[in-house]
Amino acid sequence: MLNSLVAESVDPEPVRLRPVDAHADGEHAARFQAVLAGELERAYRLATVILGDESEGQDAVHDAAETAWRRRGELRDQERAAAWFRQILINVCRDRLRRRRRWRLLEVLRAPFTHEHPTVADTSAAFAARDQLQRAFERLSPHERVTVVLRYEEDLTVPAIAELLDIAQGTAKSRLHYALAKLRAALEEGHE
Amino acid sequence: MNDTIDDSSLDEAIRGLLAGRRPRGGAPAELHASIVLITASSHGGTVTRRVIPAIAWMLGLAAVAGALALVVVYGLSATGLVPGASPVPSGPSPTFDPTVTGPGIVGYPSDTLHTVPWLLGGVAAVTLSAIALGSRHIRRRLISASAAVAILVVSFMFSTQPGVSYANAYGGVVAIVMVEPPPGSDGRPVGYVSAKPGDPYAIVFNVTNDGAMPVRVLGLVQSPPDAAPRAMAWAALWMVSGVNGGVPGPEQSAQFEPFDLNPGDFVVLYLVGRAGPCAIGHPFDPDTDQLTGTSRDRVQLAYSTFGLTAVSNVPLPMVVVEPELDNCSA
Repeated sequence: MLNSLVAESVDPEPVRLRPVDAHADGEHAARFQAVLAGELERAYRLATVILGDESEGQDAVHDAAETAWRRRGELRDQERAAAWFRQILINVCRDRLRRRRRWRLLEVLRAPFTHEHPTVADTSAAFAARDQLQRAFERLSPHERVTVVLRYEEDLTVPAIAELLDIAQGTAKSRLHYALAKLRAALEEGHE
Repeated sequence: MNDTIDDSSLDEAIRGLLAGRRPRGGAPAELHASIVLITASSHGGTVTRRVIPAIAWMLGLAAVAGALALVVVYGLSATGLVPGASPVPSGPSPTFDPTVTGPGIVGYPSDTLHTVPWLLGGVAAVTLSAIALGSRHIRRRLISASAAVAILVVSFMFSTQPGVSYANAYGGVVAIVMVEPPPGSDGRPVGYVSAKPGDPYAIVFNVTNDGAMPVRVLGLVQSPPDAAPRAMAWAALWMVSGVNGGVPGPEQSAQFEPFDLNPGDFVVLYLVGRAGPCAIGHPFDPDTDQLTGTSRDRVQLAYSTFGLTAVSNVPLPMVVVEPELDNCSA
């Protein structure tokens, strides 16, 4: 739970926190913090899945929060605050993916726990297929990667994806189609 | 083997892939805290954990780039590699004249070559090391740490430049009588000054650049800071450049002007002195003359590398001795 806490130190590694009067934050700050409080865990998970790295996910969420706070005047409908923040977060993640260099090492595959995915057999063939799938996923364009994550991690429908990304439904459908085609080809290659 | 993956298998595989990319725990406490900082108005504005390291990163890089640019530009201009400057003597030069006083004699320069690189390198290395230690990104750490090491290595190279060294040829030219090394000496021959008081004498030897960087030879330092009051004084310096060992005659020399000496190149120097007021004024005769006087067994050549000055203590290939009259009160 987020209380009205302010760090004494602005060091990257926060040292101590002390309580302050909540009234000092202001109405805007309180509303902003409330929105973020509800979205933070989901945003952190989403950013980490898109970027494939926890520290990058952390940075992306922080960058998105900064951007959202800076542009808070653009938000007209407070009811859409959460979706608006998620849009900003996705844009931040896409920017990071574009800047990322090709020589970035692929992460070691994290084998899914049995309780997460009990039907996956831990065989070398399955591992090879997963490896191919992972590589294909890393090679997707930022747009394609985000679309796949929104579809399979957030379980959004194509219309919901299109609304979130502020694109046409046809565009969302097309991106998803091409992304899945690449992933399917990689998986088939892994099973050969 | 399946050649075609059905939709449900693909779905399953993708979900498994994405499940593997989820974070191992919830959002870390520092992320919560940093989000709060974004709206912390009681501290006078938005201060984030990314702004300060970014500013430090930019300031550090700007300081390093600025310092290096300053050294390089100053050095390029000092070595004549910018338009309008000439690193070698231009125009006709008078022929060797030992009675001319002044050319090539300079004062003792500041030893910036052995201090400034370490100062700049130290500041840059500390800044980059702080950035490397404070960054969470491995690539930024590697770049900063590598840059810090590289700067320290460059500073070390600059400060350990040998400058100008004696090469392999020498001799007396004017009013110098060369004798073999006396018994008990360090093995160097002796050149006795035979000039009358106030008259010129001259020796010659060649020098080279043993370092890896070109140096600009600025001149002969008149006398070391700790010289005795009646120490021998040099009057002028003449030079012959573009030689590869050996000693061309003084008639081929030119008045000294600062010039660039590349690694491995040679230059012949004619050192002209003036006999002091107590000089005996004739060739020294060990059978009749008492050996009292002054001597010089080394000279100091001022030089610069990329505009940073230093002094090379160059041992002379011979000991120059100026015998003096007994009981001279001048």
